[in-house]
Amino acid sequence: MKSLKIILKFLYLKFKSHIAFRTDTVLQILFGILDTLFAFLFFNVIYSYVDNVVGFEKGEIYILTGTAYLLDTLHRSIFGTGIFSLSILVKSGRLEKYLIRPFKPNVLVAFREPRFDMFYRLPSYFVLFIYGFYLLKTFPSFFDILLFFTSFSISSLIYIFLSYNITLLTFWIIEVYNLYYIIYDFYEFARYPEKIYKGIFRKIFITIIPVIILSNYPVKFLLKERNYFFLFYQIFILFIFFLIFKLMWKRGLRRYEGATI
Amino acid sequence: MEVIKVKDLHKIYRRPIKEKGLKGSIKEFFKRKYEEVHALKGISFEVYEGEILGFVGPNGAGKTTCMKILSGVLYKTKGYVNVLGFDPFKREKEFLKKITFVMGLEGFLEEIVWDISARDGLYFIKDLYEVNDKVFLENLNEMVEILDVKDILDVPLRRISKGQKMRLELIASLIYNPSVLFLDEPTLGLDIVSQKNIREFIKYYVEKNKATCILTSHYMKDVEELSDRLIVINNGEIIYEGSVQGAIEKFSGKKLIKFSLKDERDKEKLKNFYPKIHKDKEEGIYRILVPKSFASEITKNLFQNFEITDITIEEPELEEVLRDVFESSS
Amino acid sequence: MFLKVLRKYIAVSEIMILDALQYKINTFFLLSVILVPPLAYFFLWKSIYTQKEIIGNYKLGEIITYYIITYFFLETKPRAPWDIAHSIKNGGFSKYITKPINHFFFYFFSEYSYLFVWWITAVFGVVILFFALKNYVILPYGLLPFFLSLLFSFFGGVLGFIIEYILNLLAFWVERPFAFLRFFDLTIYFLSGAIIPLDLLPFKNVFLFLPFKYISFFPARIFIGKEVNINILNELFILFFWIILFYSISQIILYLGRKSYSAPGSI
Repeated sequence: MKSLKIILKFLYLKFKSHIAFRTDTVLQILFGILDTLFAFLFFNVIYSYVDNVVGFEKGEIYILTGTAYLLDTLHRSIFGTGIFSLSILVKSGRLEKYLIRPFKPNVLVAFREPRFDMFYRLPSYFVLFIYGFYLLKTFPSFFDILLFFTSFSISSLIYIFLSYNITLLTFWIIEVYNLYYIIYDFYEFARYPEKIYKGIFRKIFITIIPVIILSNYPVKFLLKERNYFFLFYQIFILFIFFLIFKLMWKRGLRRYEGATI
Repeated sequence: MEVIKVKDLHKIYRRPIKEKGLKGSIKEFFKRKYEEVHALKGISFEVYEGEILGFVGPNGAGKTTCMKILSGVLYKTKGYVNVLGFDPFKREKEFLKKITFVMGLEGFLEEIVWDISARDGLYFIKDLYEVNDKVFLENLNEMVEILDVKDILDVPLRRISKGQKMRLELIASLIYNPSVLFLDEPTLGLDIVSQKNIREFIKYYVEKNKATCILTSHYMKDVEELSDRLIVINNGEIIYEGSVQGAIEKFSGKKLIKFSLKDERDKEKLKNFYPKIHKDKEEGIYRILVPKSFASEITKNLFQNFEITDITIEEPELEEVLRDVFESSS
Repeated sequence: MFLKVLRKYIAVSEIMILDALQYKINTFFLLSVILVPPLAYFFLWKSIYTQKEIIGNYKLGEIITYYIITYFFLETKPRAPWDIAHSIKNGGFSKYITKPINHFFFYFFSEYSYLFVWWITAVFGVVILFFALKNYVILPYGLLPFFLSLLFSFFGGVLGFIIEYILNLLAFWVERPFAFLRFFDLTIYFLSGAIIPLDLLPFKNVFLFLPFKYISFFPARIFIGKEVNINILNELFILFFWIILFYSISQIILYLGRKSYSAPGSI
C-alpha cells in the first residue's frame, strides 16, 4: 500500500511536469487518427478481395487491431520509455541516483518517463475497436468483458517484463543499447491473428517472445472463444518472465560498474 | 563510535578493449577482449561518528569507487565493508534511509523534477523516505534559511543557476536527516560564494546531527576547512592517513617560495633553472616548492641570477603539497 | 507496422535516439527493422492467398517480394538528421552561417557516409529473408530491372532526403519541430507504399501522382517486374523534375529561415 502511494505520488509529479510543459496534444490525436486510418484502409483493401482471414471476419480483425494498439499505447505511455531508459542510465552511470533510494529502483525507473501525451491516441484506437463490434452486430456479455480485462491486464504485465528483460541485457552488453527496439519490432506480430503463424515462428511467438498471445488471448474472450486455458497459460508465462526478471536484475546489479572509477 | 569500517577492500573492473576501425568493431562484436583495472587494491580504514573524513587523490585514484561501494551502488570484488552495521550491497531499506550520496552535478532533484519546482520534488522525497510532516517542515525551513534559497524554491528547476541548483540538491540530500554522508565533489564547478555557503552548511549539518561524512573535492579549500582527518589515495592504495597538518608535514618538509620577476623575458631561463615551477595565472606570481634545507640556498641563487621582486618563503598549502606528490609519482 | 517510424523515435530523448539509430556499429541489431515487418506481412498475406490466387494483379510471390524490397529501400534511404531542426532550435545553426559550407550538402554528404555501413548490413538482412522465404520470393527477370530499381531508389532517396530536409527547416517557424517531423515521417511511410501497394488503394491516381512513390513503391515495382512497359526515361524525367523543384523550394526556405533566424542561446 505504501509502495502504491509512492508510485502514485511519483506519477503525480510527472503529471505535473507534463502539464507545466506544453505538449503536443493535437499531434498525438493526429497520430492516433493516422494509425487508425492506415489500419482501416489496409484491412479494407484486403477484405475487398476475401471475406475472412484465417476465420477472422472484418469486424473481428478490427477488434484485434484495436486491442493490439490499445495495449501497446498504454504500455508505452506509462512504462515503455522509462523501462528502456534503464539502458541509458546504466550507460551513463546515472542508475546510482535510484540505487541509493529506499525504494525498489526498478519500479521507480519504470515509472520514470511516462508519456501522458500518448493517451490522446487512445480514443482513435478505441473507435476502431468499437467499430469492429458494430460490423459484427453483436456485443459480448458482461462476464466476457470482465475476462477480457483480466486477460488484458495480464498481457500488460507480461509486456512489462518482456521489455524489461530485454533492456536488462544492458548490464552485460552496455554498448548495445539499440537492442531494446527489437521488442517494438516484434510487437508487429501481435497485430494479426495468431493462426496465421506456422511452424517454428509460432512456437517462438507463444513461448520465448510471447508477443502474439499479448493481443490474441484477451480478444478470444470477446469473440466467444471462452477457454480458461488461455488465462492459465498467460499466468504461467507471466510467472516465468517475472522469475527471469528477478534473476537478471540481481545478477545485473552485481555487474554494474557505474560510469567512473 | 565506529560508523564505517573497511578492511582489505578490493575492486577490479573488467573493461573492454576497444579496437579501431570497422574491422575492429566487427571483431569486437563477436569476441571482445577485456583488461582488468584494479581500482582498489586492498584499502582499510575506519570513520567515526561525527567525523568528516577528507578523501583526496588524483582522478581515477579510486575515491568515487570506494564511496560507491560504501553506499551499496557497486559490488565489491573482495574485502569487508560495514556501514552503520549494514552490508551496503544488500541495500536494505533501513540502511538506505540513513545514508545520502551527493554526486556533484548529478542530482536527484533534477532527475525527478525539471519543468516544475524544487518544492514539488522535496515533497516527493519526503514521501519516499517516509519523513514525518513536522520534521520535514522544520528541516526545510531551517535549510532554506541557511542556504538562502527561499525565493527559488517555487521556480521551475530548469531556470535555476548551477550554484543555486546545487544548494537545492543539498537540501534534497539532507532533508531526511541521514546520518552518513558521502559527498563526491559537492562544490564542483560552483562560484566561490556558493562554495563557501555549501561548506558552512555541511559543517553545520554534521555538527548538529552528529553525522559521519566522507568528502572528496578538487578544491583543497573544502578539504582543509572541513576535514577532521585526511586519507590520501593514489592508484587504489592509501598513501597517507592522518591530520591535514600532518599531511603537509609528511609530504612536504618543504617550503614554498613565492616571487615575481621584474622582467618577464627571463621566464625561459627560469624554467631551465628550475623546471618544476608553477605560475599563478592571475597574480603573475611564481611558486617553487623546495626542501626546507635548500630554501635559503635557492633564494640566494634566485637573487644572483634574476631580478626578483616580492619574494616570500612560506609553509605550503595542502593543494600545493599534493600536486607535488602526484606529479612526482606519475 | 503503422507505428513503424514512431517506434524508433519514441524512447528517451529524441536526440539520444538519433544517436542510437543513425548508423552506428550497433546497427546490426536494427536489422530487425528490415526483417520483422516483411516477415509479419509474409504470414498474413500467405493466409490471405490461400483463398485467392491473385489479389489486385499481384501474385503471392510478388507481394512478398514487394514488401521485402520496399522495407529495404525505405529503411536505407538517407534521412535528413533531426540535428538540423535541433541546431536551429538551440542556436547551433549559427555556426553554419559563419562558415563557408553549404548547409544542405554538408548534411547530405555526411548522411551518405554514415549510410554505407548500414546499407551493407541491410543487404545482408535482405539476403537472409530471400533465403528463408526462397519458395515464395521472386527475383528480377534480368539485370536491367535490377539496376533500374536501384537507380530509381537512389534518386527516390535523394528526393526523400530533400523533403525531410525541408521539414527540418520548418523549425525556424514551428515551435516543436520534432513532433511535427515524426508526424510527417509516418505520413511519408504510408505515401511511399510501405503499408500497402499504392495501386491497391482507393483514389490510387492521387497517390501515384505524388512524388513519394519514388522512394520505395516505384523501385520495388520495377524489381518485381511490374513496370515493364513504362517509359523509363519519362519517369526519370519526372523524378528529376521533382528533385529540382523540391531542392529549389528548400533553398528558398533556407533563405527565408535565415532572415527570420533569431539565434537562440546567444545574445
